Amino acid sequence: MSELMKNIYYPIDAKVVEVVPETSTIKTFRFKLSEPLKFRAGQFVQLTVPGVGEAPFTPSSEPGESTDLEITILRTGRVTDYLHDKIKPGDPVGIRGPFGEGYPMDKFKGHTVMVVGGGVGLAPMRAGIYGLFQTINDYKRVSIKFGARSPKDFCFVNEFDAWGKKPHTDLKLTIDRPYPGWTGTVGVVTVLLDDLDVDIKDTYVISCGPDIMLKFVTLKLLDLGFDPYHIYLSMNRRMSCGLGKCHRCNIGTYYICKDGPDMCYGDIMNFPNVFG
Amino acid sequence: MPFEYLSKDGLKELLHRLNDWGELFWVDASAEGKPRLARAKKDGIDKYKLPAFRGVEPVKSVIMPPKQKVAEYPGNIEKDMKVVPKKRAIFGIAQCDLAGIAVFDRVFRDDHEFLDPFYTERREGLFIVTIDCSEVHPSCFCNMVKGKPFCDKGFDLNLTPVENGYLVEVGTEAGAQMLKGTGASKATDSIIAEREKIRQKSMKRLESQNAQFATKKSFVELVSEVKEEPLSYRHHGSTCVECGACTNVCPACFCFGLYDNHIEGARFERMLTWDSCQLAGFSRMAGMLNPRLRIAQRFMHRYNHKFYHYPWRYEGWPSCTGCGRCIDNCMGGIDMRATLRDLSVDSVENMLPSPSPKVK
Repeated sequence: MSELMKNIYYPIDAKVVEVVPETSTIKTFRFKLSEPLKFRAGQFVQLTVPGVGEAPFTPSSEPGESTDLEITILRTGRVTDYLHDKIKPGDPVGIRGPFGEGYPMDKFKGHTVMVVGGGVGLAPMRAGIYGLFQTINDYKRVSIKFGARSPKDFCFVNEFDAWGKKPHTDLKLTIDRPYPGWTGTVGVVTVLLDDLDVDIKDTYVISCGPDIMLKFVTLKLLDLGFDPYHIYLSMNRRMSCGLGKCHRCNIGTYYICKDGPDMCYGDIMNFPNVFG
Repeated sequence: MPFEYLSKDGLKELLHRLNDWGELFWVDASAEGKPRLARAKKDGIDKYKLPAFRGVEPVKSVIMPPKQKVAEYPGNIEKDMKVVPKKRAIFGIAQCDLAGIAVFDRVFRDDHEFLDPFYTERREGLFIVTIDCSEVHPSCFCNMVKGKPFCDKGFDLNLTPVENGYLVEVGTEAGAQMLKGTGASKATDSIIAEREKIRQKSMKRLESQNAQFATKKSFVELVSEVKEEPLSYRHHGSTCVECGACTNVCPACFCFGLYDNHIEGARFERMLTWDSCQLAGFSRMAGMLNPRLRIAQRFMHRYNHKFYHYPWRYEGWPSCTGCGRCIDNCMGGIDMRATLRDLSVDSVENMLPSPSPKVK
């Protein structure tokens, strides 16, 4: 026997095209891939920084098939520090993927989808939002709720106006603490879940942000009467292979890399340490 | 499949044939102490002694080396690999190691979405010779995890030591071919009946030495039902020093990590190494977040993986084969059998002692 097999550990070549600062700690990196990558909303990739390591990110660009890819990254560890400090246009990187199930977009069709994001959690949410916009008339309504520490900590602010103008789409923002000149809502993102004007039984929620935010968003949604099986959380776990093999990203029986990274809360709610 | 009788000289001939055919690894009991896994030597064949039970080391290093290069980049050169199966034989492994290979197979060979080409290369060309355990090591407990001290299938040849020679069960056509020229002859019914006696004797010994750990429910059921951190994990896990020995010597622990090295200039290589879920860094994320920060959480995670998560994904099979090597090698004297037995016990007074008496 001798046959050609795909090397599942090999990162395909890519180059950095542009680095766009979003906030003081978040940058969007634009990549040109040596071959097209096809990903669905919610799927993620493993980004290789040569010699430094690999880290998982959900792209922030529009789902589909393209050689262009954007990833919006918060500096928070070894790989991301290097990306922020050293990586510049023209530098080589590698991409593996896409991995994961992505959002069950078919399940959302005909229903309201509420998008709840906090901090850099807006980055993967952006791909989800673009995914929803691709067939916006399939959904009853898209309601976006974003929170950040301050007005300076929102990514993609230039796009907010356009998002709010899409058919049956609304966008609400909040910041953690009062800020000079800010006239909008103040408080963590859960305050945007007060006085909800959506049909709770008919709404699916997708959410991404730090563990602590996911925890309190989930608790609030459950309090409001949301079905745990209507809540999809973008879970955070350390990953290595991305292939459902190395067994470090699991929550209970599920692999975040293979079955997620956006997990149905109903599926994982009985496992220990769901929120870290 | 037919049964053959092989003389002691015939066994040597078989080893020579295997050594000529490909890379031969064996579990050899000729040295003092316990059977050891090693690369076979042609001039060691005369002295080779078939083990009576599993070796000190698991055979997983033959199918997944502790460290291997899986990519060199950039260049898109190796993204598709020509897979040429390596001709390798492992000789004299027990059922617990064969079951360990099956644990790896489900993850690396049978997952058609993500086939591992490196594993395929090592596995497809693998020739397996198993043994019946004619003795039982004090830490063996395969009988408690769907195992037996002998193999029913999955081997090319299986050997049972009988009077003046060996009873050989032929498992595959490749096995039958390999046996040609070794002087093997058709086994008599009385020899086949003798094998059954040896098997029953080993099974009885296993059941007897593990009677003190017996539970009404299976280990898979017991662990799967646990929701919160049970007392048994705290009681027995308290002496864990997070050395990672248990995962290294486990024939079914396959967790690994990837890391990259600089070669020279703009060339880099990606390495795949064994890892251990018992080490704090295993699940530590950027920003120092760690869902399994405490030893007890990692301890529970290991049991969950073996008796809950893996069986949930792979048709009820645990990823523990009952070889007992983790018991032999634990510096903290943790006995997996005692830990599992005490899952259904609600007070420390009624639990088995921790650390467990060291098995010899």
